[in-house]
Amino acid sequence: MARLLLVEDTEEIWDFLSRRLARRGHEILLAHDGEGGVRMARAERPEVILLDMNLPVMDGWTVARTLKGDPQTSVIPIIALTAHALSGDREKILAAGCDDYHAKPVDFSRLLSQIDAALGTGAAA
Amino acid sequence: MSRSETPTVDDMDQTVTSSLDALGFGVCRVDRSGRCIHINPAGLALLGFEPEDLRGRSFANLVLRADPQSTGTSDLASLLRAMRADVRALPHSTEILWRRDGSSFPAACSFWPIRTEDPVGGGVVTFVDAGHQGAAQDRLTLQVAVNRILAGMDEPEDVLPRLLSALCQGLGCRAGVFWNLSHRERRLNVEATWPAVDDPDGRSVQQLDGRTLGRGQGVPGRAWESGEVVSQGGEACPGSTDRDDPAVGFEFALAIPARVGRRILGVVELLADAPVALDDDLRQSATAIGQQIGQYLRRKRVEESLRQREEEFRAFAENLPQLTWMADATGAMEWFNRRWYDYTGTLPEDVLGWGWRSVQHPDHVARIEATYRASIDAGMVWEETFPLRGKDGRYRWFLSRAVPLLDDEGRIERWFGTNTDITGQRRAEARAIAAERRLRFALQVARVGSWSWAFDEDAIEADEGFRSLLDLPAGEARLSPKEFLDHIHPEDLPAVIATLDGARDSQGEFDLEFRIVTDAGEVRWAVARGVVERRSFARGVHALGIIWDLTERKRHEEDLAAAKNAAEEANRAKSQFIANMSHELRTPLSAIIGYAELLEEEAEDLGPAGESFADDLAKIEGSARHLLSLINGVLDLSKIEAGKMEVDLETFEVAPLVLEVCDTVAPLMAKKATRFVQDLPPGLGSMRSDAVKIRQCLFNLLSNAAKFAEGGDVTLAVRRDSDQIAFEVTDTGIGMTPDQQARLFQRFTQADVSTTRRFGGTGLGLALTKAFADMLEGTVQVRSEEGQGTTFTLSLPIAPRHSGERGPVPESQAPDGNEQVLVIDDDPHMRDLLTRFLARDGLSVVAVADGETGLARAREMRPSAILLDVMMPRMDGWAVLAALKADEMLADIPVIMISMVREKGLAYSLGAADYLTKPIDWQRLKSVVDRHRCQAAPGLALVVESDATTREELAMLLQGEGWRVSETADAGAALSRLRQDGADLILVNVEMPEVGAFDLLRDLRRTPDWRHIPVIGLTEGGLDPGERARLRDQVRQVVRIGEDSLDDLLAEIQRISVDRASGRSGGNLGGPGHG
Repeated sequence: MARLLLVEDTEEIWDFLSRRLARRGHEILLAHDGEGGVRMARAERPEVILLDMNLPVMDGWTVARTLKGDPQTSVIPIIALTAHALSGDREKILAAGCDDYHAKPVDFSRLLSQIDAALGTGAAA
Repeated sequence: MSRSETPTVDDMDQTVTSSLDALGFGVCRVDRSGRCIHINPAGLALLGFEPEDLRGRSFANLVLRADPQSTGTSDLASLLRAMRADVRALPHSTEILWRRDGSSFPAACSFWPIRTEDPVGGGVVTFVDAGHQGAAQDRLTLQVAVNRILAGMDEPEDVLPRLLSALCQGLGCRAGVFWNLSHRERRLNVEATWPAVDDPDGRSVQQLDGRTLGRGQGVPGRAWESGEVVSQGGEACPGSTDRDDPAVGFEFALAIPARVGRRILGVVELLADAPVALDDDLRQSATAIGQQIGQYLRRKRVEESLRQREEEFRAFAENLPQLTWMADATGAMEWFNRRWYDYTGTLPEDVLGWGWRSVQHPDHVARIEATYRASIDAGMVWEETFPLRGKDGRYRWFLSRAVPLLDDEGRIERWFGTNTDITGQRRAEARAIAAERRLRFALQVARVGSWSWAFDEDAIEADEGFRSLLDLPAGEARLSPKEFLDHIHPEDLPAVIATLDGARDSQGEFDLEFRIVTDAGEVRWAVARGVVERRSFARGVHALGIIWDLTERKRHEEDLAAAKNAAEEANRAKSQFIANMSHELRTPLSAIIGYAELLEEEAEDLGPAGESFADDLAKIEGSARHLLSLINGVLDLSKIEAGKMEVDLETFEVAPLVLEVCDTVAPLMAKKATRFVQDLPPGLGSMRSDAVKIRQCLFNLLSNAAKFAEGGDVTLAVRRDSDQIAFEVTDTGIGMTPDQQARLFQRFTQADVSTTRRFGGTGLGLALTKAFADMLEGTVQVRSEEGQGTTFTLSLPIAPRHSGERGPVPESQAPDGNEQVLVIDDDPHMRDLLTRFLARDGLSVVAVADGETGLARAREMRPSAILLDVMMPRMDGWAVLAALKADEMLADIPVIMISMVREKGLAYSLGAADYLTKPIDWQRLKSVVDRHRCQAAPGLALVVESDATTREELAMLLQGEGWRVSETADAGAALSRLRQDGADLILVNVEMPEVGAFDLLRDLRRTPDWRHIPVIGLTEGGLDPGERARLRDQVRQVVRIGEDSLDDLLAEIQRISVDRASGRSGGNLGGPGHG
């Protein structure tokens, strides 16, 4: 199916999420902090990045800006995963360069359709 | 009796007259009145008269010094003047008789009455020239003559020539001069000469007028110098070249000093053509005469100076600005000055003696007379204050004093009194006292102290308020500035001094806020405001100011600021907490839900082997999702409360949204075995709103219904009308009581506690639904009956009126149009009564128990009227009133004071709109509240009064009642104001003539537009009944101006404004034709 990079520090989340996505046939690359995420993205060139915004070492906002600022990685769609549900988050996230937004807790079927949509965009690009 | 009736000689026996005519000495027949009937030729020769000169003339007039009151009176003259039927004979009397030419001669006289039946009566006077009898006899006669001349009351200008004449004749001299000694000029001045000026022989002395001699100069000067009789003569006078010496041209001069003891008052100089022998007898007798003259002159001078003093005193009394008067020693009035008569309009005969009582006020006259008589009797100064009636019939107040005037021996001779008009002063005093009292009350009530600081005197005058603020002992003594400054907090002191110095330099205002440290160490906040100005009637400048305690307000402010900070802090903490919780709670929940779903998938993969635990996994997932929804609900509410919930408007189709929700809740309905009916008519169309929130509302209502209608029916019906969409959710559940319905939308509450146990839930759903409905400008309503099920209706506008986002809906609703009255009273019973009474009248009432709460509520609700009790603990009604009136936002709310005691004056002066006393007259309360509720601006009042102060007071009174005021001094000005601006009320002084009130009233009556303007006539109490009656038809009311009649005037003005407000008065200008 597709190579997905999941940047997530909470073990339970990356664990079940990666396993469920793998069950759907996706190839999952994992990074547990922001810097690792950037490194991995540059090295592996995933098709979609699922990016937690609340990360150690380098936060999700910086990761998004860094990747979108790098021509080599700027085309990779990023879906932000966030626990923030307060007003204005969505706008801030899109402004940081993310392509889509998924509020935790994860609604798995919705997330799948968002990944599909991102892949479509990416494929078109 | 006229002369023609006087009996003549014809009536007498011819033989008698013939015999009289034959006699060699003078005989005169006089009638019973002493008038000459016949004088024989010898008599006529002696006197130098013709018979017709004397007939009918009183013989007494021929006798020198014939004054009956004088001690030196001639016996003969007295006898003739007072002749009675039984007149006695006077066998011998030495008299001086006048000749026709003005000279006189000593005569030996006798009088013999005629006691027959003679109708003429009277008697016979005989007289013989005694001038040529012996020298000793001459001198004796001369002394008698001088004595008589001097003994009378006549003035020196009459006496001196006669004296000189007698002396010259007695001593055989031809001329005489009287030299008056002026001690001031140290000169002898000619005062009188003889012969008289018109005498041809007198030319020599006539020219002496204006001559003066020095001491030792001439014969008179030497007599002055030596004090002795001086003579010179027998040859041509030595040193006669002195032109001032009258002795020039005479052979002989004799100077007699007129003296009293050693004091020389003048010199008599007698001049003769031949020397007179100045023997010892003559010298003695001249000396004696000189002393007599001296005594006479002294007496006259004393009398003269007394007379002058009296005249000066009268002139002084006459010209005093007061009414003045004099009374004799018994207190009977003898004299009043012109002003008295002008003021009282009386005549002397009305008021002299004791008649003055008629112009006293009847209420005072008895007291005044009593104290006056008591002072007279005691010889003490009298002082009284009382009204006196003027000629216009009005009384004015006078301060009256009388002082006794003593004679030389210290006896009270008479009384001198004054009446000083103090009406203006009294009025001014009364005003000043009233103003001062008002100010003191106001200061006291407002707890404000006042002070003044005379910089150059280094002293502060401070009242009680000031002292108590600084915790200084009460007292009158001035404070030293150091005492004041020492109490100012050291940190604030430099600023205080700098501000005061600045104000002092610029003579401007200052406004200080500083801390005071009392001796006990307590810190208080104070505000001092005032102005530095030049002192009147003194040098230097001083600061005048007030000061009040700000501690309580400061404390409140500090508390408020602290509370606000704490609240903001708490709110920040809550926001932070919510943000954290959203992350911290959702992350583990994400994991729980995620693993549960993962396991469910894996169980599914296992096929039948997994079925045993697939159900359990579903329960874990369901519970986790439930927990998530609860957390979301709490977060949503927090957002709403924090004002952070936003409305996200979009336009969408209604039907798809409803169907989506139905799909979501269908499994829930199925689970509860509830039949779910959807009633969606075609053509619901689209709406502009927040779809997410509508979805949430519908979900809440439907899942709620599903829970309660377990096993029953739930119907969702959607209806669209012109501007709304209504979503109606009906269940056949247990229903609710009205009480439960009332609490339904409150947060965290369910219909009852048992419900929670039975049905679960937090009660958040309905609260959120209600909040969302409000945000979307819609409503959610409930209809329910216990046991019969419930219907919730959510109505939302198709498009919200307020485009864009809206802030949170405020919690408390602003009061609607319904009028609110605030009642402040500490007595619960009274509060209840007032509330019920006013509520019955259709007013909504808020009642509070104390002043501070009352003030706070007043600021919140801005009531249309306030009923305020005076007697309350802590902050009393006066203080509340003062605070209300001091607050710009509240000052115009009418305040009706309610009290046990009458203190109307104070209430009005502090700005109360009305005043009621307990027990309450409910009828009056109603009218008072009605009046102040609908307080329309009363209109324009015209004040016509000549006294500027009164005018100003009236204007203030009217302005206090909400009137606009136009002021004029007289009718003329009033008319032009009327033509220009019109008026809705006229106050006119009907008493002062300069105002011309009657002219004004006449013009008002004649002008149709003005005829109906209500007029209040003002008097000062001096109106007579006639004028009063005349006025009654022309004005609405006649009111006396004065402190005590203020209420009447106020009441009348208020009645007029009520009439105007209710349209009963036709007083408007330009109203349709009033005839």
